[in-house]
Amino acid sequence: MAEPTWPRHALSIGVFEFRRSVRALWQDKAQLTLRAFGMVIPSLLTLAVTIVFADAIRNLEPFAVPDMVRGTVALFWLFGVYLIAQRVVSARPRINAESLMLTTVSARTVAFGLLVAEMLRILAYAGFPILVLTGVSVFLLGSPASLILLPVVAVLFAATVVVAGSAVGYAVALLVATSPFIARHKTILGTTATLLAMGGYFLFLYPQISGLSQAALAWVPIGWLADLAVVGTPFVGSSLQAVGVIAGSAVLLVVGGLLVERETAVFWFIEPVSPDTEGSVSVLEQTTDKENLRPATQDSLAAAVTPLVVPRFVSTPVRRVAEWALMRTRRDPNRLMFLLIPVFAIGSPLVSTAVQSGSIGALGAPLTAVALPWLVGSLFAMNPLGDEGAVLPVTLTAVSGDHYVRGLIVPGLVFGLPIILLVTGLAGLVSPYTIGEQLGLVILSGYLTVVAVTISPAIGMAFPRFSAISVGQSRDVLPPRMTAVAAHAVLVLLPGALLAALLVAPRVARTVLAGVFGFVPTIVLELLNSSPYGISILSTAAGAFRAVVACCTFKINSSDMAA
Amino acid sequence: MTRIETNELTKQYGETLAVDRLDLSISEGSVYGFLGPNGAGKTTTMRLLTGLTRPTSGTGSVAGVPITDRDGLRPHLGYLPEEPPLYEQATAYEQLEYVAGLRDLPERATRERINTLLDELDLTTDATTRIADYSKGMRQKTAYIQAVLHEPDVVFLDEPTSGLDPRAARTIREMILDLANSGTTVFLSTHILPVVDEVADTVGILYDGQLVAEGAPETLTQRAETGDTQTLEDVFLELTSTDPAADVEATDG
Repeated sequence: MAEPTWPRHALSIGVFEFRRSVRALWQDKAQLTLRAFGMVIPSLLTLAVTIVFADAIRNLEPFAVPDMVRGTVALFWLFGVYLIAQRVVSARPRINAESLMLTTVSARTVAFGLLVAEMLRILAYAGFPILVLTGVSVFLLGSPASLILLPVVAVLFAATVVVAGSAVGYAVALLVATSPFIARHKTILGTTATLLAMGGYFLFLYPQISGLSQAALAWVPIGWLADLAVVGTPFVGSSLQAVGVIAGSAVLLVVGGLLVERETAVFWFIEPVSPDTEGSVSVLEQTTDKENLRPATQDSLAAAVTPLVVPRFVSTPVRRVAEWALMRTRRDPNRLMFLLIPVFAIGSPLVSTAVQSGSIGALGAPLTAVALPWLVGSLFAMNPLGDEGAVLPVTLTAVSGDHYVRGLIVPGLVFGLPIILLVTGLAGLVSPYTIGEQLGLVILSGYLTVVAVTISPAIGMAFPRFSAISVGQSRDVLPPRMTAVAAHAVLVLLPGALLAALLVAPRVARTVLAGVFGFVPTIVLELLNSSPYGISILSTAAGAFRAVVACCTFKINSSDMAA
Repeated sequence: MTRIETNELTKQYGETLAVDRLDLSISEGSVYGFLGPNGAGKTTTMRLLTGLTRPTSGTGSVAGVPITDRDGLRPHLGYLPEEPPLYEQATAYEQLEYVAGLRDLPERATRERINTLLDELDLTTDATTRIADYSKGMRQKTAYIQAVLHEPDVVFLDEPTSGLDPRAARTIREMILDLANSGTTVFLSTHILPVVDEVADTVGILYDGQLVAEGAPETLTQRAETGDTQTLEDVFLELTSTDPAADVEATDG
């Protein structure tokens, strides 16, 4: 039994956790900017389109909501459930300050508090776009009902996504915590599940691939939120489905909420099994197991990274750093979640364009040649100092800087380079390019891998992150700073893409170069010339330029005279 | 009146017996010093008694409430684990008010109590600083206040003086004695033996999950056969050594 005031306390926990997230985000300005852009730009685009087509929107003829819209809502909902479940499993299965919370309030209170916090986070991101859509609906479509209904739809969408995703996530977390087999193979199982989920998502998103379209998901009741959202507007939805989705969401929230409560009440009070044993041995007790206290009889670090083997010709300190970097990446894959942001931000539109234009083969090879080196470069050394954590002083006093940096570079070169050359070669074989172009792409991929792998320690050390991101109880989760990720991506992907384009589509590359170095300055100069202040700005710039030239000439002359 | 009672309390993780048929009986207003080497099962015992983990077998109660009744237990206990459970993004004041709110404590009285405790622990000037910027000692003090804020019947303290400077450690020791004088039972786990020697009424020594000795500090340190007095450290080393002869030799030497 939970305490009688548990709903109030759950709300209080939700608000407190949300405030903590906001504060943490506020401290990370790069991430804050990135997220703000992600939120503001789509809203501004929607607003701009709305203003441009305001008259057309006002004069829209009434039409029935197509199945495509319902299906799209359902598809996004299912994807949202996957994302939340994935977040619960990988980032926040246990709670922060667990001993405090669970001895202060009931597990139910904590569980519902966390659900509220997650919902608030989603609504914070969706708030501005929802506001824009509501404004459009009220003012352009003349639907005052939207003032209430659109926010209600957004809240229902967020609440059901969070509850369903959390129920699935905690169920998976419980399986990982109780089954030694799943605990041992969680990385490979998780990767497979992710690939399946993404594959399913893209199957419905791009009908060109499978013939399935979003409309095929119109039967999923949550898609009926579209019918509720259009009430009062010129669009015609099904009233029955609009009522049905409210009732259905209520049932889902109650059943899902109960499920989350049951799962957390078990999960938070059991000791997770160790992935290294068949029996149920608590991680608390592992370090005290006397068997583990026996001196190691084999190279335990090398054994930890098998089947990968760092070559013996690499000097011992470098090999140890390399093995450590490999082991860390393998044992704590949560740290690599940051890679998903650029992959989705850049990969999704590229794949979409390639699929829609039927040029997957043509895009595959250059994409592989450019993106894979970046990916491998990001795996091991994007935050080397932060990854060391409390061990950093020991590491820095135990190994020379040279050895340390070389050790960070070795995994990418030894294991990443051959794989990238092979994959790019294979992608080239199924592409429409000539042998020369294919060979050029393979060489480019190798060159880019060397660049990406060698610059990542430098960037990672220039922009380190030392404080762990507060994701659940997992204090080890220490993704690199966004600045480091962005700098690395820009330094590898932009020149890489340009070189790949010069190889396989030189005309496109030349056009881009001409645009950047020719048209843009010309347009800027033309604009300045035509503006009333243009001439004065140009003459000031020219004066400054002359001053620099005069200064340089004077220095050269002085040094010549001195000589 | 007994505040903590266990009967053959056992916790097993796979093949490992973390707590082995533990029998405890701790009365109201006493300070129980719980000693043991690393991995002896002290933290597991505290997690069992606070309801954070379930026993494999045996029974136990805290303030008359069975330890399996987590909802019944919560109002009666305060817990300071070894790693202070604090939120980095909050200030000490925010954290304490948050926890007080979750416990439904009356606002005005709680605010006064928070101020008093912050003052006693010399934390008032830093109470509006984010915990992320706190030293280990400041975190420890905040977590201590959090554990005793609601004036629980029983307080479980795991290394409460860890990371504190001598002055703050002394204050905590005095506060522990004040708690006991006001009727609160204190279950104190620490490796700092002089602290136990100074404040504990009863000392229990856990080794390999079993309670190998229990009694008042002066009784334990008194060699029954010879009448010689040992220090608590000698007793501890003797009882928790895998090779008692070697330890006795070392102690004598």
